[in-house]
Amino acid sequence: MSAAKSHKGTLAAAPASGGDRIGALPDEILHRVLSFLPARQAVQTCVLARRWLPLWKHATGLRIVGADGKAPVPFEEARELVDSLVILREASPLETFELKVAGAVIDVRRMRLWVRYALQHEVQELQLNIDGRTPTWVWPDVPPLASTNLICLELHGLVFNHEFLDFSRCPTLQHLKIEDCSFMHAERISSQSLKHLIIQRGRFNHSSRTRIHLPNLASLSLDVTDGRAPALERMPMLVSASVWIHPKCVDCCSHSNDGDCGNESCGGCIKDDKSPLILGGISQAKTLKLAAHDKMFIFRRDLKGCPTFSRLKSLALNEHWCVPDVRGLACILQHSPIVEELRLLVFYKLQGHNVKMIGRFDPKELPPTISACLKRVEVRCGEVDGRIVEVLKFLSKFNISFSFSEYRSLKAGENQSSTT
Amino acid sequence: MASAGSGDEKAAAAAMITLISSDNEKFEVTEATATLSQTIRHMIEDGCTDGGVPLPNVTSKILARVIEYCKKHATAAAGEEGSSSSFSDAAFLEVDRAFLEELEEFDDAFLEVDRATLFDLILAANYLDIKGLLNLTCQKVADSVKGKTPEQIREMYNIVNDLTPEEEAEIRRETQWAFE
Repeated sequence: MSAAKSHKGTLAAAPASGGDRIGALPDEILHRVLSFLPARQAVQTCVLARRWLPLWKHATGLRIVGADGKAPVPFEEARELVDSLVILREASPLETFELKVAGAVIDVRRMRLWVRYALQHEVQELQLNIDGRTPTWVWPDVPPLASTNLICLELHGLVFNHEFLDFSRCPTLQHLKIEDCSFMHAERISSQSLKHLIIQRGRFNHSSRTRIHLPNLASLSLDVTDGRAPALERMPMLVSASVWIHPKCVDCCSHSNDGDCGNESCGGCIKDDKSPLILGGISQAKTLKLAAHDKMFIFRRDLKGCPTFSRLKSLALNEHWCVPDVRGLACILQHSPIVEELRLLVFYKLQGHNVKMIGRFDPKELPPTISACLKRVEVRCGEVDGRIVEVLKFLSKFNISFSFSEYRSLKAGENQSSTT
Repeated sequence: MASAGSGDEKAAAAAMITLISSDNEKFEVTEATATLSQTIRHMIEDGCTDGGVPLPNVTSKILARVIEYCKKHATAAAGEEGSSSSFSDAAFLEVDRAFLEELEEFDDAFLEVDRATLFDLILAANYLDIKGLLNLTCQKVADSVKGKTPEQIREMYNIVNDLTPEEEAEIRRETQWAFE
């Protein structure tokens, strides 16, 4: 931003000749405006007037996206465009590089060259969104990224190799978002600098476990749709975490529901290792949202060596923590000494009516087995049936009773009558 | 989110900074709000904010808007720690989305200004080095021309074409690859 400072003096004077004219903006601001246009259109501005002729060559971002800014570009078309762009634009630094391509054949080696170009031009925000007909492989010979400028990385539609997600050579990386990618071959995800990680619809290996080593992570959103849940190493700086384990995950055993059936050849259980796989890593968080599928296998295994959530203030759990078996909920509550807010989402309906129940209790009458800091207990469910009643009965043992109101999810302000 | 409130209170207890607009109006803001501006952050670090920070390039009208943006985003940054930005489970998502949507709605409403004000905001964001505001406002200008032909853009922004027809034809030939 040092270039920006040199224009300080020109600001006040400029508007005299028509403050609503785009021409009153200094070049470096127009470079930034152009960075938000799809690259093809940014180049086309060169015919607007003489002043605009060189502006696109200094644009602070390159977005290889459809004309609407959202749709992917067919790979062949992108190739022609990017090859011309990188040769003809000036060597000025890039802040953003966004590539959104689709097609039957994706030339990964060519893409790798573009990424190298972006990294050489000090890119801070890199987005690679690949919508191939078959998965796009990051070949084993592709080394991990190396950059001292990269802050934000978004990846979509890739199959990673064993070491691509080792970010030890990206010391400034803070945000990582990975959507619809396969971690089948990824041995680990590691970074000393990463603060925020989002994994959406992550598919993991069916026999080995990816390790996640992110000691400075502040927020985690992990969504495991297939394979074995990754093993989270301790995250002492963590503030909030959301973990969702889908039903298709292969962590399970027909003889045991808590990870230790005693059979040497069992592929689901983890022998001789009592350390929690997920809960241990996130035990320092202040806010936790944990959604399990009906087997609860990984969480139940973790609860056997349940860590203490010594900083946890807000906890949200889905139905499988408390229906048909409240032990998961009971255990995690016992290990959350200062929790203030508990939310249970039980067979919650995405659309239509849900019931919201707010727990009523006198903090002085809470039993010593749960947090004395508890301020709010909320249960949301599709309808009140026998399963919900069991949950409420369990909570009533802590002297927590409920009033409830019916409301329609997704639309605020439609809350309806409240009864007790 | 539970932690949003406490973050706000912390900010309120922190030191106050006085900003002085070009027309000599004084604005009291918290340090957390002011330091969204890298320019002011550097001044605070250098210890030269006693007696107020004069901003000779920013009018009181624009400065008030800039402060409005900084306040909202400083509070959001404090609250963000307590809420993860994304979660797939529909029910959890609903709760997170409310938080994010509120900020987006604020940004959209914030950008409902005439063009002269928008350009003044861009210049102020550039001068004060507030990256979020600079990107937000530049994106607004980019969005306004997205999908438009060069002719439409010229008309929209009163750009006088000072290229001769021959020159323009030559430039179009050279950049054929971008016009196809």
